[in-house]
Amino acid sequence: MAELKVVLVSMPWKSLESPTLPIGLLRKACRDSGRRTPDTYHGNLRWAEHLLNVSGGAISTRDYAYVANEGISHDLGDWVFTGVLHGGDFGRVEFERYLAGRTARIGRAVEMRAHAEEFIALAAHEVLAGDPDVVGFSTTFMQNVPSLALAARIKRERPEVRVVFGGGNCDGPMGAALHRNFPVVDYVVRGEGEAVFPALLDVIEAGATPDGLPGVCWWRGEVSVANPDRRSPLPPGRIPVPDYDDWFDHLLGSPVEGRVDPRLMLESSRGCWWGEKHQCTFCGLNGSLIQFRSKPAEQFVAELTDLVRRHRCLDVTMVDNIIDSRYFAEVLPELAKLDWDLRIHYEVKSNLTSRQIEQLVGAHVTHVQPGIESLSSTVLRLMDKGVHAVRNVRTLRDGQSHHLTVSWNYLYGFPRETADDYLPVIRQFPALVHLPPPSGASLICLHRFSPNFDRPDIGFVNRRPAGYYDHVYDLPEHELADLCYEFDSDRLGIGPEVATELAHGIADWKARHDGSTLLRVDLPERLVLQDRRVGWPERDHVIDDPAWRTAYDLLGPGRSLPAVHDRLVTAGHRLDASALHGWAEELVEQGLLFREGGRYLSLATTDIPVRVT
Amino acid sequence: MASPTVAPVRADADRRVCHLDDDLTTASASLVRPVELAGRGHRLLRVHRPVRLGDDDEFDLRFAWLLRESISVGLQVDWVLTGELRWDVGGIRHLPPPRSGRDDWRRAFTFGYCYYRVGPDFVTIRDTRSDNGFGARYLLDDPESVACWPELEGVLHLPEATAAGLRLLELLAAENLALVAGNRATVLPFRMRRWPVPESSV
Repeated sequence: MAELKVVLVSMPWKSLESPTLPIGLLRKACRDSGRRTPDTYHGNLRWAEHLLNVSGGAISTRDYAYVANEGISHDLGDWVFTGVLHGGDFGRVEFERYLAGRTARIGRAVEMRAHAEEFIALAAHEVLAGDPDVVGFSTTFMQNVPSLALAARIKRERPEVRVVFGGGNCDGPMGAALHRNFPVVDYVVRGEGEAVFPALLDVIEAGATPDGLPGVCWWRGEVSVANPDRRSPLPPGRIPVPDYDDWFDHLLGSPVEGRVDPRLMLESSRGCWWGEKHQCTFCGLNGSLIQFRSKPAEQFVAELTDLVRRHRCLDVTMVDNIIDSRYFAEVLPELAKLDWDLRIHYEVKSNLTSRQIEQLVGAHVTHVQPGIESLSSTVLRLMDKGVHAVRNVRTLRDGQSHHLTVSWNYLYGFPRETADDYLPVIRQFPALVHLPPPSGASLICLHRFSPNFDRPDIGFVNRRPAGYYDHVYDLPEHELADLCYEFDSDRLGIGPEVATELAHGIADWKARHDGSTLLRVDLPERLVLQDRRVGWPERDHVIDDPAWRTAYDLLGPGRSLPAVHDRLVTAGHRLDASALHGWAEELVEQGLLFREGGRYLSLATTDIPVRVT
Repeated sequence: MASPTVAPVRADADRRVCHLDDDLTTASASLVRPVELAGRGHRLLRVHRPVRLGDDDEFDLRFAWLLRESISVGLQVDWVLTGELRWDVGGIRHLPPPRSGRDDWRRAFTFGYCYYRVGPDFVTIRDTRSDNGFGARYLLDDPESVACWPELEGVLHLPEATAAGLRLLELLAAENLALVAGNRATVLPFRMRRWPVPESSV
């Protein structure tokens, strides 16, 4: 048999700004295994183009982004396509009713839904125009239903085409459920696909059955078979460099091109080194494989620089769940040597030192997502974050001082948390308004693969598939329970009143942030804290006594007062412990120190970043 | 020839402020190095004497260069304009406006409306000065243009410019990406050396 013609498909709602990493990886993996590079169908770009076209520009890339980003909490993107999969009006009225009860906006999803059927027909036509033998879908988050709708259409028009699914939505029992409930899917590759997918192509080419391929789901007659998943993690040196040539080529001729800032998606590691030891209780992002592996420093720097050079693209998003600690010594100094105006986004652990933040910024990292999650040490302990709240605030402060964008979200709803873990912190929010506010407050979700899911003893005993799935999939609950990633469960932790207070506190923080600064100015004879925070009197606080100045400096990293007192005494300052306590409490009242869990932290930044207003 | 008084530290003064006490001249303006000042921790350049524009081509361009290089490294410039502005405010709205003299410039100013970035063998330019929603993007990657880009970053004396430099200048000027005064010229976008927070706002 001649070599199979393979098309890899990425459907909505993958971001329009960047190529799909799994597709890029599989293109290269296929080539490395001696095959022709598979063609790619960028269904997400084509959908955005189609919407622009049929609406005369009225349904824009911003509307697409709204569904892709904001809609994820309610699976809005899957709902747009569910009528194609299950029949015209499936879930339509029920979902709108569901959303109405949740104060979520539907955006232009209703208008989009009216164009879903014609788009799937167009996409099937375009995919089949290449006369493929195999069509492979990469599916993560809201790509399931659009992918299934297209797969069904392809099978209807050309039943002999083999359909393969893979990606995050296919991990573990989700992949097996997807396979047995949707016979249009011939094979599902569960877990990392770089080795298995080319091997599956060999099996298909040979007309054999894939009973020896770990994790693969396949049909024996009408019986869905799920091979045991005994794969071992791909060694980091064998993780391919993604091939993005076709995506950049497509974008160049697309009307979307002028409306997005293209970004390279790269990975320097897989898994989570923190999660291997103490997985955050709510986090299921690593799926069934949390083992941490990172690429050798030299290899990663070469990959990044080669791709930047090849695609003339200076914006880079690292998809890693956490940066490797070794990279501070081995990778960041190498990136710092580049006189290129890169803009890199990394996810990091939140207990960064000031020196590490400096290193990140020097290496052209402009945006981090440190997983701050909370400013209460008790709640952070409940979620097994392994960080004290003052370290989180310190990261916000030092990020601001070094012009680093820090994104974070406030999570609540952890078992055994109480109002006392929130109210004292919320009362201090006005002191933090010069620091980056959280994007919002979110009740934690119950996600598959998280400790909260795997261990009901933590507290989430009752669970059922999240409510929106009922309006997206026409499946019985026991099948949904295997297919889905998110679950509804008991509401635990703080009650609605405290949650509302938290939300109001954050809204106030966000409203006051623009124009708020609290700057530390070191003068030869004194320290001045220039307070220009919205809601506070405009004041210059002067600290000229050497002992107090030293005390303030000692609170830079965040310390308990006994620890500060010991150091002051060692340095020769005669200060009474009670005087120190009185002074610190006064500064807390003035919003110059943050106090939590027995520690105090100075809040003034050493610089003020530019803000675009 | 007067040299500028760059007084980073005055008695009991904020080390973050750098003072220019004397009248700025063509020669003295070209001696101020914003990149170095920012590297030494300065965040504000205070020009104490009013800056007279409109009389001298080269001075006007030197001062525009100073504004451009300052904002590139996050160095604020506190200055007062006298004389005539020879350029439309719309074209220079991304450069630090005077504290007084042109209210329209202060109103129009927005950080990051016109900047460039340097990559390996290419330069990208982002221009959102005109409000058409998404702005314009340019990519310079032909070796000739990339090679002569540094020539245009300074204040170019046209009679001494290379042929490639003049060709690139013509292209840039056609897109309102270069300032020209008499026989001098420089590029308008600033190099994005210091990103705003959030960095996605530009």
